[in-house]
Amino acid sequence: MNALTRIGLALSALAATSLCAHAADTSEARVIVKLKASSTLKQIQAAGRVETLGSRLGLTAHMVSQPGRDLHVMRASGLTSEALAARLARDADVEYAVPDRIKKISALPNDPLYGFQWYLQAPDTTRLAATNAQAAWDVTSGSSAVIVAVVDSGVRLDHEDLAPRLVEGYDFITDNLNANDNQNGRDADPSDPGDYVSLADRNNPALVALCGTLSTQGSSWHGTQVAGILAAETNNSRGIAGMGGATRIQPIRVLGKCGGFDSDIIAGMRWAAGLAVPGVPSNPTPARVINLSLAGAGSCSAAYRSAIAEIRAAGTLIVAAAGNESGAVDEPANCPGVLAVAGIRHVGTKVGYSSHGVEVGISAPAGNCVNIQLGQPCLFPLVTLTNQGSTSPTSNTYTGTGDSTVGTSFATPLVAGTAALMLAANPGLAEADVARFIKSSASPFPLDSALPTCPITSADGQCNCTTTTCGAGMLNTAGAVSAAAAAAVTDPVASISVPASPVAGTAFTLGSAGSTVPSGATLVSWKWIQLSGPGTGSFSADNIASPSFTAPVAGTYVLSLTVTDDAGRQGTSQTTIEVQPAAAKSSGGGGGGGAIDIGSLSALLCLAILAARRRLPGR
Amino acid sequence: MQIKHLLGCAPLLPMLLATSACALDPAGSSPGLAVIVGFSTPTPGSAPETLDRLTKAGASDARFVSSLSPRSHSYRLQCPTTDPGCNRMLDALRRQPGVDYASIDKPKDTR
Repeated sequence: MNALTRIGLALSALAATSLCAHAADTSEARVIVKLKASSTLKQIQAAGRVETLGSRLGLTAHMVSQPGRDLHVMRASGLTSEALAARLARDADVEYAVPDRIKKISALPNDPLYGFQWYLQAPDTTRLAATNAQAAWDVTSGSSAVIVAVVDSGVRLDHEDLAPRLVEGYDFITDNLNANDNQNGRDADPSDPGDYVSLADRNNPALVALCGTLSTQGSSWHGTQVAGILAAETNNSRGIAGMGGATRIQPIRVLGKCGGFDSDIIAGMRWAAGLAVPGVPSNPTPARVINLSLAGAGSCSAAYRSAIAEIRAAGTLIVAAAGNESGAVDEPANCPGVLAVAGIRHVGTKVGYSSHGVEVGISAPAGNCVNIQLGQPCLFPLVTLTNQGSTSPTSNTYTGTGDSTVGTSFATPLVAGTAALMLAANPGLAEADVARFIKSSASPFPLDSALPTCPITSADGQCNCTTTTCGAGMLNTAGAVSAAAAAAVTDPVASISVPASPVAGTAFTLGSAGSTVPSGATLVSWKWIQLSGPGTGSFSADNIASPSFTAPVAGTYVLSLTVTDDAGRQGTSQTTIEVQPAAAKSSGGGGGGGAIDIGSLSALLCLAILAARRRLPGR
Repeated sequence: MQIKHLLGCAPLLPMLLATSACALDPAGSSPGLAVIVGFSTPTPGSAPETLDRLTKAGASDARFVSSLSPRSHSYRLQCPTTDPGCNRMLDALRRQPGVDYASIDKPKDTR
């Protein structure tokens, strides 16, 4: 029998073993991996990061794409996506790693005006600022358990594209003149009766005393417009799609004929978060997100600071419009802890009217018209719900390209709706994490060489956004929702390591360092158990991370490890250990050779194969 | 309240007309300065003893408007004639024991 024949026979025997099985594994792994903020790998180019991560695992990895900042899609052969994700997740540079799964092509919403909602669709070369909500809806279609409070002018409760999405709200306007609802102060009716200012209003001294100078204007139906962008009923063959899918809206009325006062706004915000407001029944359905498409000049007051701290402590995220002054960020968007939203054009540059500054957390499409001549269509407005009444409400309708539905007011519900989708995908997400993921998943701002860099602006207020003027980047709803889903809390995974050839009667060390825990958690306890074996072994301690174990006799032992993290979540794993007989004591002479273990045999055979292949002609 | 208010401000009409905080409207009903007061402990906003605390800070009249929380309430305060900008009154209010903050209750509008 020549060497090749012997190798062939050995190969046949080994084919049935798992030792060389991975060599025949044709799996292709595809994983989304996110680097930690502190990772030093970020100092090298993206493709190099992926290759480095792969090489640490003994793999040749390639980058497929980079869907977001510090996010990479990587590919490697010879293992499954799940296995690669699990191994990458243990790398100190990795924040998370999840399989990049194939999704079926989803049907687009059947809402007839969806075609005009460019800002919800995938970005392209013309509409760089589009949020790709469409892709996020493949991850989650939203949840009716997630409630967003729209603290605004109230809503038209009977709008057919909104009514199914509403929960009980409240009217916090204290002053009857401003409220225009013929009710005495605060009440349980958050419907919008109209915020018009008539000639009679302008001549009403009491209203002028309250509001200051008034200009005649029609009703804006502002709260209805904001609520529609956020959560108009989707896929109902009617009107538009809402960013938040199945999200529900809590209308809270604080703005009337001349806007609203801080005192009513703060009371409404507090109530939205489930906090007590004297004289008002408790909120039966507190909101996880508050949308504030309102603003006023000035720095953040102590009253807002105090309320915002309490609201955040209650777990509610506050999203607020930066303002339309093309200048400093307004209150309350400039308050610490608020996710302030600046407005960008369809091409991703700052829209002229948007306020900007270091307080901004994120930018989103706010609507821009391009055409500015009378009678020409507004090319990139946000399409939403409204009412046809110029003073009191009449029939409900939708805005269109003939309207100029533009303003940071309308960028804000895109962000609030994204937050709602994230909470639907991962209900355990903390308020701060929602804001963090929205920022970390943002798309980088584009550069238009014809524009100055913010805060320097062109004559019409436009500029190229930076991260110190327009927030972390352009809202990327698909990226934010994916990040939220990937961070979903899972149980810890126990992992047991054992030495290569444990021997009966000799203590050997067990390891659990490969165990994994959800982000932010730590393991606090370990429990080792022997499930079976030819004899009863002993642990040096059964409640530590790395005990030693002594098997009394040779044979197959099954051990179990249960790990528990600081939130009480547990994970259990088992391992089978082949314990070898203790070597016979010998007085010398080299002994009788003994039984060679299967691991050593296979290693020898693999080496022999490699050597033989090198000797074969023609290679 | 209306009578008390008029009695308090009528002799000072010329001076008050010159101020924005205490400006009288043509009908004679001064809205006063809108202020949010945050207390360090739960405080009944409309109770007479609470209104007394505000007047001790210098307000010639204090009217409860609404509650924001058990510890914060909004008021309309009439500034003393010697403090037309209300700044001294606000400073005095902020220095009162048990008062965490006093912020102007500013208007906001849609964006």
